[in-house]
Amino acid sequence: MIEGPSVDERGASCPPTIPIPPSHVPTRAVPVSPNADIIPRYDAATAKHGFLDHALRATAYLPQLWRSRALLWNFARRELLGRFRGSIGGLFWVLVQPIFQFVVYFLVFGILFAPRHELATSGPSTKYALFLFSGILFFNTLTEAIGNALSSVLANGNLVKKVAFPCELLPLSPVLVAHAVYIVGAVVLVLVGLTLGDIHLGLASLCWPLLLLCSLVMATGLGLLLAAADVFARDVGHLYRIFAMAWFFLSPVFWQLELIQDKAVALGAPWITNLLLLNPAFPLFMAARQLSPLQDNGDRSSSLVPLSLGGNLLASALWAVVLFSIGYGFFMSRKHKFADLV
Amino acid sequence: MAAIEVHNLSKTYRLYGNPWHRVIERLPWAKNRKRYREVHALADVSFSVEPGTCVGLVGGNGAGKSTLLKILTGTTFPTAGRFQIRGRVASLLELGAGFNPNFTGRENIFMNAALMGFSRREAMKKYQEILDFSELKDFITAPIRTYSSGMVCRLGFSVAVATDPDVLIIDEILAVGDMHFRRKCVDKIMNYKERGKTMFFCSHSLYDVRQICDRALWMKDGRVKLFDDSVIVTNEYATYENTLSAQAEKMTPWDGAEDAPQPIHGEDHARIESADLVDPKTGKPRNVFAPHDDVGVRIHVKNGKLYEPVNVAVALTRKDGTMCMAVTSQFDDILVEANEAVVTLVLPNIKLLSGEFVVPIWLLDAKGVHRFHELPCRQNLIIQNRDKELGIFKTERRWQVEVLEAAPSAVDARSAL
Repeated sequence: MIEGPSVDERGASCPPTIPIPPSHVPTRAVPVSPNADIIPRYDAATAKHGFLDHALRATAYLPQLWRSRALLWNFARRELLGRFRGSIGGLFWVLVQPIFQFVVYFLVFGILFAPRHELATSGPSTKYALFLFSGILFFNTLTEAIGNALSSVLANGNLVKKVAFPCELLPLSPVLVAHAVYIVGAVVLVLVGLTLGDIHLGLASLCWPLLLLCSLVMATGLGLLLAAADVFARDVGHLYRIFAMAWFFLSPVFWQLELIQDKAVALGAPWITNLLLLNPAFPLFMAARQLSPLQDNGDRSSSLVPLSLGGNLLASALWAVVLFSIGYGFFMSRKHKFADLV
Repeated sequence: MAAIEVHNLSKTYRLYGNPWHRVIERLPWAKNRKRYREVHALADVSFSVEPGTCVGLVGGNGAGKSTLLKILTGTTFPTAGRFQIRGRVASLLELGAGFNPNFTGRENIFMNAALMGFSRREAMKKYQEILDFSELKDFITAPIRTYSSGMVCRLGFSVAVATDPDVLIIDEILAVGDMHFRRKCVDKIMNYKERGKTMFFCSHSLYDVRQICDRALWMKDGRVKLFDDSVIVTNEYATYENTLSAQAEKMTPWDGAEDAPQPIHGEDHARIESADLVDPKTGKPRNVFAPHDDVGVRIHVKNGKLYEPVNVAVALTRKDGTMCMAVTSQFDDILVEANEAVVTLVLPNIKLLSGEFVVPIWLLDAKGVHRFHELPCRQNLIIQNRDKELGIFKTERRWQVEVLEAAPSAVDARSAL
C-alpha cells in the first residue's frame, strides 16, 4: 500500500504546516472615527423576529424616518422625478392629468350619462362630475400608493441585496409621492369647484391635513404589509390588482350610502350597509366629502353619513394606526429574510 | 479590542422545490415532513480581525465568501451565531448599486451618499472630493445611461470611499476600470491601510491578496479552512487549486496506490521496488520542503532475469501537469549495474516555489529508448515557501539601476506642483 500525501476528509491536501513567523499586524493606534458608536452587531440567538416585537413598537418608525430623512428625500425625489425624466413636460404632467380627468368626467357623467330631466331643466350638471372626480382622485391616490409600495421592495431588489440601509423606507416613498400628486389634484378640484360654485369651504376644511395624514399612514401600513408579503409570494401583487378593483366599488366613490341602504332594506338584508362600513377607506372617503361638501341641491346630497366629520377622522385615524402597526410589525419581522428572497 | 469579531456564524438557506411548500409548511398538520433542501452557505465560522488589519478572503465559487461579506455588510443575516463590528462600515459589494441610469451622475452621488448614511450637508461637503476622485468632470451632469461601464464603476468607487469608514468591505471590484483608475483604487486602499483602517477584501487575484493584505481567510465549503498570514494562505490555496485542476484533468494517473503500474516487459526485466522522497541529510522519508532545501529521491531497483544495466529517470511534474524537470542518470553517465540497488538522487538547493509535485520514476535501458518500468514516488513533493515570489521556480536576482537622469530634488518637486 503506497501512501499518498496526507489528505483530509474533504479531499483537500493538507500538508503539515511549517512553523510560521508571527504575522505583521500593525500595532499603531487606530483613529476612532466620530461615528465609532455605530456598532453593527447581530446575534442570531437574541435577534427579535416576532411580529409583536415590532408591531407594538411601531412608533420606532418615526425616529428612523428622521435619521434617514436624507435618504427618504432622495427616494421620494427619484420616485417622482423618475416618472417624468426624459419627458419634455416634466412635472407639468402632474397638473395636466387631473384637469383633463375632470374634463372627461364632466363630459361623460355631467352630460352624456346625466339624467335626461335634469339636463333639460338645469343644463349640464358639474356637480356629479365633481363628486365622482373627488372620489376617484382620492381612490386612485390610495390604490396607486399601496400598489407602488407593494412592489417597492422587489423593484429595488438589487439595493436590498447589496446595500445595508433601512429598507422600511422603500414603501413609504411611493406613498409620499402619490399623496403629493394628490395635493395637486385636490387643488385643481377645489379651484374648479369654487369657480363653478359647487363647493363651499368652511372652517372644517382646515382639517384637510389631518385627513391626508390618516390616508398616508394607512397607505404606508398596507404598503409595508403587502410589500413584505410580496417578497415571499409574488402572487400578492396579482391578488392586489383584483382586490383593488373590488375595493373601488366597495368604497363610496360612485355611490352614496343612502342609496345602498335603501336597496339593502328592500332586499331584506340591512346588514350589508354595516359590512360596507367596515371598509377602512370608508371613513376616509366620508371625511373627504365632508371637508369639501358639494352645494346641497336636494337630490344627490351626501347628507347621510354615519358619523360626524370628527368621528370620521377619528375612525380613519384608528384604522390608520391599527393597519400601520400590523404592516410595520409584519415588515420588520420578515425584513431579515428579504435579501435572500428578492 | 478586535475590529471584527465573528463567533460561530452559520447561514443555512432553505431551497424549496415549489413555492407552495413554503406555505404548506406553515400549516400545523403538515409540519412533520421536510419540504426543503438545506444549503449550508456558512457553517460555524469564527474569527476575529484586529483593527488596522487588511484581510483577504479567498476560496472557490460557492465557498461562502459572498455570504460572509453580505452578513458583515448587514444585508443578510446569519441563521446562527453572532458578529460585531466596531466603527462605521462601508461596503462595496457592487459598484454602483442603487444608481438610476436616467439620473445624472450628480444626482446619483447624492442618492448613493444618502444610502451610505450621509446627511445632505455631509454629502454636499464630500461632493467635490467625489467628483475629483472619479475624474468624470463635465460628465457629472449627464445621465448615467450615457456613461461607459468603466465610468459608472469609477463613480461608484468614488462615492463609496468618500465615506471614509472604519471598516471597509470590498467584494471583487478591483477588476474594473482602466489601469489608471485601478491604480488609483489600489492606492486609495493602501492609504486606508496606512491610516490603520480595517479592511475585508475578497478577490480571486491571489497576487492582490498577497500584496495588499496582511492576513488571509480561506473559505471552503462554508468553513474557514485557514486563517493566517496572507502569504501562507495564498500559497496553500494555490497549491490546493493546482491539485484540484489536476484532478479535474486526471493528470496524475499514479495517484491511486493499488493500480501501481506493473513492469512493461514483465518479470524478466528491471523493476522499481519502491521510490521515496527523503531528507538527504538524515536519510529519513520526508516530502515537505522549503525552497533551497536539499531534496532526495531514493529508488530501490531490482534487476530481472535478463540482466541489463539500467538508466534511472526522475521527473517533477506539478499537479496541474506542468513538467518542471526531467533527468536521467544517463545524462550524467551513470548506469546502475547491479542485481539490486538503492539509487538516491539528491537535488541540492531546490529552487521550486510553492506547489505539489508528482515525482514519477522510470527505469530505461542504457540508451534511454526502452522503458522497463515506471512508478511514482509514494509521496508527492510539497514545497512551501513563505516569501512573495510567484511562479514555478526561484531565481537568483541581481538588480541594477542605471540613473540616466537624476531625480528632481525635493525643492524642485514642490515648485513643479
